[in-house]
Amino acid sequence: MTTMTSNMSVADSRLNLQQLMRQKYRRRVIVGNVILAFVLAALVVALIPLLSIVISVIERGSKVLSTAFLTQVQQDPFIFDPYAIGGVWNAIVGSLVIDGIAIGLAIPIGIFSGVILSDAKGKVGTTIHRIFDVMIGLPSILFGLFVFFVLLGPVFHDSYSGMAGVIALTLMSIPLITVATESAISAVPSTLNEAGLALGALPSRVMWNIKLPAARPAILTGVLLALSRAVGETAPVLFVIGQSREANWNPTAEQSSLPTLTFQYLQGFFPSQREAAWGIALILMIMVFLVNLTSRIISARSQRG
Amino acid sequence: MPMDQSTTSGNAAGDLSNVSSSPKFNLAARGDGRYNTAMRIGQGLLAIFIVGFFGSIIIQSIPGWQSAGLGFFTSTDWNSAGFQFGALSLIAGTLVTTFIALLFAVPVGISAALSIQFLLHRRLRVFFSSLVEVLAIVPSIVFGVWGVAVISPWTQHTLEPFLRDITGGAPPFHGEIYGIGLLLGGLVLGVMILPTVVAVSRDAFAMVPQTLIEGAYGLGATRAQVLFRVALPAARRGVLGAVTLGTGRALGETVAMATILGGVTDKFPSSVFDLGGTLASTIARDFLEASGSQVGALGSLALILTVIVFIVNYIARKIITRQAVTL
Repeated sequence: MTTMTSNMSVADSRLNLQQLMRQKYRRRVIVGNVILAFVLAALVVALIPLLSIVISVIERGSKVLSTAFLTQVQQDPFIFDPYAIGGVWNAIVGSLVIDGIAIGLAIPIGIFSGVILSDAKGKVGTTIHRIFDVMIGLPSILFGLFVFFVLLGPVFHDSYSGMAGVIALTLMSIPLITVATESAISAVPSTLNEAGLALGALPSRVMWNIKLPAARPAILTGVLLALSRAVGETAPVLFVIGQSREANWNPTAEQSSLPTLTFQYLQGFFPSQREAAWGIALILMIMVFLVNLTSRIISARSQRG
Repeated sequence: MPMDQSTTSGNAAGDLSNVSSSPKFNLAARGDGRYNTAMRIGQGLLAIFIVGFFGSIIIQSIPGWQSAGLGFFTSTDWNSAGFQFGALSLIAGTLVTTFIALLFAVPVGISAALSIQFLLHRRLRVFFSSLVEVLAIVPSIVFGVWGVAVISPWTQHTLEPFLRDITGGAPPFHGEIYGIGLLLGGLVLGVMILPTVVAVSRDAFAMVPQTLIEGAYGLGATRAQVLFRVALPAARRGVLGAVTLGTGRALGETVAMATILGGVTDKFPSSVFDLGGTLASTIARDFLEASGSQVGALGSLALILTVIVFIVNYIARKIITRQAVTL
């Protein structure tokens, strides 16, 4: 008899334990689901303002965009003709010239610097590496100030020049491309490196014929990221390129650019200028989107290959 | 590979230094002397670039220190037209807007990244992660256009009156409501750095080993537990990197803040509704009209900005490496 009761109580407590665990599990699932609901809500909260930007730029920008807006040069509205805004052709030309030359200069310098960094060992190497990492996060306005203080006087004789903007953007892009190149190279499997060396290739040959080709897609992505940043940057060129009202393919002349014109218009007095700012914002978004699309196509192709 | 066998003797290549006792490898290393020399020169050039860049920022700030002295850090009155150079309000404006931005972007961004990576269907995940990466490169001036025209009416008529009523006008939610100002600036900054935070931390979550996650599920963890007790700690390096990148961008954001904050720089902000200015936005607003000692003072602002951003990024790097050791 006694054994039987003890057996029953064991079974009883086992049942209780199971019940307790099931309860605890249920509570855990409920708490978990509440947390998941918050996490998903955060995604919605994140998307609302971002989509609002895209939609309002497309909506208000497309109202302003027209052939005249794209092909005419800028005009200054005045009291008697507050809608005489002209177009933004001068800024489009300026942006193409400045950004194109800047990225063209930054690509070889940045990739070479990346190769140097990936090779750099010892104290100097790691210090340079760390500072470049930090420089990526520096405010872009500092590169504009650097060009203004150091070069505008001696090199450009205190006059505004598109080339000064080119240099500021190049300096800004170099750390970006450098670090992208360096991390792309160090991501190449070390077995490839060792196989090359074991076959008797010199380190330079391994770098040029094995590591760089393997790292090419990632380097290209870094370059295009730098380009899309350069296209949209206002602060580095704000003080050094001037405010040209003429379309000018000569990079050494006073220039205008899409972001700086937007900045001017935002501080402008006339409502038509603020409307035009939306139009330029749309052009900038399209340009940046196209650059991004290119980089996506490239990386998709390299993954397939 | 006899590309430059005949050139001068160089140092042993780094990759081979541990086996350089072998004569064959020595030969190979000597043959690569030109490459090594180029690398050395390149390192030197990079060092010169860095020293020149930071050196010029320091040198250009000297006239500012000379004209304003210690008042730069004790005075809250920045009025470059009146030759008053006290940077305290600007430093406060920078920190306040960045703080508001992080308050919004860090929880929302990390949660959004978690849900994109772990809660959505594969196709939606690909779609959202590319969307976020595209949004991360929207030029900052576009955020300025949007903040002034679209969001400032909402902050003026909805958010700021609500905050004032719910707190009974207690600091820092008191004073006149303009719509634009520090709160709007902070929110726009938060939205601006949000895609960066989401994209970079999602990348970090994607690199959490699948075995860890499956192991946690196998031990009976719920989804939420996997997300917050396994994925988040495992990816904390990348998440911290994401937040740092965002912080750096928020501290240095220039043109959007120059249009949104209102450019009131002569008094210390006491309410988040106040107009204000940041270090970077003040440089952008004042620089074109500046001359003489004003330029020097703006150079000093640039140095303060550089030092703050440099320290933030550097500390973050230290944290990240320290965690890498304990991981």
